Amino acid sequence: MAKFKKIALTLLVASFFPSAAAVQAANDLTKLSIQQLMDMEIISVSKSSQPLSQSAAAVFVLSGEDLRRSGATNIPEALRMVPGLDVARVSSSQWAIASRGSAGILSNKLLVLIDGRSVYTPLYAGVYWDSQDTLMEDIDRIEVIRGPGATIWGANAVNGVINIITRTAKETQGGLVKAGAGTEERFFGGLRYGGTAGEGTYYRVYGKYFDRDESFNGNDQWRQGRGGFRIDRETERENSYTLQGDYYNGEDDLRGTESAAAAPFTQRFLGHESIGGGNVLWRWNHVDDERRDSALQVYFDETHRGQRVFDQNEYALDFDWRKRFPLADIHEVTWGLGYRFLADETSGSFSVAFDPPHRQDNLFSSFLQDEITLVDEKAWLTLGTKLEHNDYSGFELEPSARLAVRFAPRQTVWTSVSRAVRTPSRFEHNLAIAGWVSDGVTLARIYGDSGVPSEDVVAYELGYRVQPTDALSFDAATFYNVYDNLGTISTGDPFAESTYTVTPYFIDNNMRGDTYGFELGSQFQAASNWKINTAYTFLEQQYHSENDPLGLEGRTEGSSPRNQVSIRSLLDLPCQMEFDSQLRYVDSLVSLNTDSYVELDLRLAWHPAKNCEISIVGQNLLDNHHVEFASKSDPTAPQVERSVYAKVVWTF
Amino acid sequence: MKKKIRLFSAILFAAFLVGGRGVCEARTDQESRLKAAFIYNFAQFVEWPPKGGANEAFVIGVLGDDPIGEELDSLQNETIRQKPIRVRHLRAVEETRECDLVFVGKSRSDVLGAVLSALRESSVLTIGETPGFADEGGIIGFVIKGNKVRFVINQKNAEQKGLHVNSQLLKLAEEVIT
Repeated sequence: MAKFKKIALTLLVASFFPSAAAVQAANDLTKLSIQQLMDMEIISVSKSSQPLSQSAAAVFVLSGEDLRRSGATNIPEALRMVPGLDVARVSSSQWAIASRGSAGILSNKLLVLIDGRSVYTPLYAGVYWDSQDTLMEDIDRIEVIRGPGATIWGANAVNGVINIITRTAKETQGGLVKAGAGTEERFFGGLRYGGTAGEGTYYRVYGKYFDRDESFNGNDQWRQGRGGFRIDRETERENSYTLQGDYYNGEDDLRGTESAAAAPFTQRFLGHESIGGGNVLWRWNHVDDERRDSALQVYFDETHRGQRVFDQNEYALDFDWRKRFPLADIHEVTWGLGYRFLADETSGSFSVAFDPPHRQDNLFSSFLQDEITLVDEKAWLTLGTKLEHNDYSGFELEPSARLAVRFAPRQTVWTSVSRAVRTPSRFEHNLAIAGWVSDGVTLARIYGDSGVPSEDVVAYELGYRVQPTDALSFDAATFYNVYDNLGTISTGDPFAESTYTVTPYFIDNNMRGDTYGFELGSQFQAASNWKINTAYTFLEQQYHSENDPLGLEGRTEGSSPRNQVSIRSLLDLPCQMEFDSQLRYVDSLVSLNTDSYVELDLRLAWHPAKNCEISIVGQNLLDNHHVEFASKSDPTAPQVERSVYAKVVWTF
Repeated sequence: MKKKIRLFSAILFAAFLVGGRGVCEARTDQESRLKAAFIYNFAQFVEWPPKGGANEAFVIGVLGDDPIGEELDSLQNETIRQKPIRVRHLRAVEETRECDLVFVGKSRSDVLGAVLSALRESSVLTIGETPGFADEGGIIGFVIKGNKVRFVINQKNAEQKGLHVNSQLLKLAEEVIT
């Protein structure tokens, strides 16, 4: 059944593939390795049970074990392990994360979900990474799909989808205490306890806190506390229920600039941004049989952020319904309906404001998809489309066609054509941002335009997966994306306002683009105690705009690395020790004047007892500090510093 | 807005509580298929001491009327260690000694103790799915973690019977009893 808990693949894979696994007989399963068998789900009523190796999309899964052994203390850092993702740390609490180009702090073409809850902010349709967190030990896996996923997930799943999926309460029974401290991670601690409440009902509660040091040049200390719960209830075989929620509060220090209509006009300040929010989600899954199921999910999410020049409160209420059933023998139909209510309250300043300051929006969506088995257990075609209506750009259609052919037991080739859109947000339609070009004389102001349409992409993908032996697997994906209506900024005629002159800029959409590239990944079990993962990513971007006074063409082209390489080694040592390392090379960012860099992370862990882990982690060990997403010659740009920390995790 | 949130949370919680009650265990066919496939794979990672008599079959014995038994039947055309697989549905505990591998289904947990003691000295790979199977003298016991099939290996028991379990398999086990 399309379980929402893995809305990630469940639905994508679910949809992209045929339900072959469900009908596989034992003698087919014997062709799979134990590792593959271990990845399969028993309640595999859905296509989600299909091994990843058969999916018709560029999919990568970070397992809980990968997370544990990475030493990453937060979700964005963990994403560095994913082939094809571009993760640049801007400051202690900010990241520019992108897939297949268009990187920026406001990277906005990536959809991120935590347990089925969309976490992009409607204000700019991007992700505030500093408010997305949970107890890392409770994350079951992170599924990353590069390329469009809009047919299932809808608008904004343009260049990729990241699904963060936590373990069920049943899987996190018992207690866990962790604590750590280091040079950059000054202190972090977490607690979790899971128990049962009557037959078939499991719960967990958790709390965590961290205090992160500022980066070099930064004034960007970051502190945050968070707590939450999850209850899973299994009733009769057909039904299961989940109720979960989180609450968090914290503060990022920041260095800002404020513009004012009167002297002193431009003021630099050291301040902080308070960040808080919460969410509660309820989900019901119903399974009729192996090919027939349905799911209903409802959630509410609120986010507050406040700093000297801008305050915002955002609210989202979302309903989602999905159903899957067979038609004839070879069709498997999935359809769904969704409704989201969005509201925000902003309070701006002369520097930054939204007009109007409050807004409420409705988003209606529906999708229909058919997975057709062309050749039993060998070839599958998935056709589908999403149709949605939003208050900014009206109706949007996001169709896709995906074909997967397993031409040998361990070789699959897949291809797809899909369209996705990034709908405009408050940012494009209602923004008003101002800065002095010359104090008290000339003011530059950027205005949103409510006529801006959606950015769209048509993506062509081709991929190949092969597992030559039980110990070795390769995954290659290539893509060619054609973008249209990409955001640009155009200039208007200067006009007088009060005692000064305003040079107006308007948010516009007259850029086209072509991007292409490929991503290669391999996993190699070199020995029973040694695993080596490697990845190489190549990206080429070309944008063209007829009216581009700010040179956005070049800026966008040069804000993502052309080449990225990573090598990761996981080695089990005698005496219950582990030694893990990751070496990564990231190419220069031409338009930002950022140098290429090579960095190394190391982790040494020891398990003195089964329920205890002591580890020492070193991150970014090769330099005292380095810039990842700013000009190397900017003396005020925060730089990522070498970090060493020690951690103890105890379970009971 | 805060009041609305509280109200909304209360409604969600109420919806959760009225969800239903009573748990009934049901095993899907997928689980049986997976377990059968695991059993086939396990046999590839275990070495049996050399036996007299060439060219015999690899005998898988099944105790109990389980769907796993039926799934194992479909392995008849496969081979394990170059020997053709023969699946035997056993009625008597004594018959287990004539097998290379014995699977004890949930439905025959009553004879579990008898089977394990009958096989104490024989080089038979015992696989079961009752809780604590590997603790109580069996070699490989299935456990379910989340939605996935996992297994526990009792290496001590295996070695006592002269069976060598490959370290790759040990590494994948949820727990290894030594």
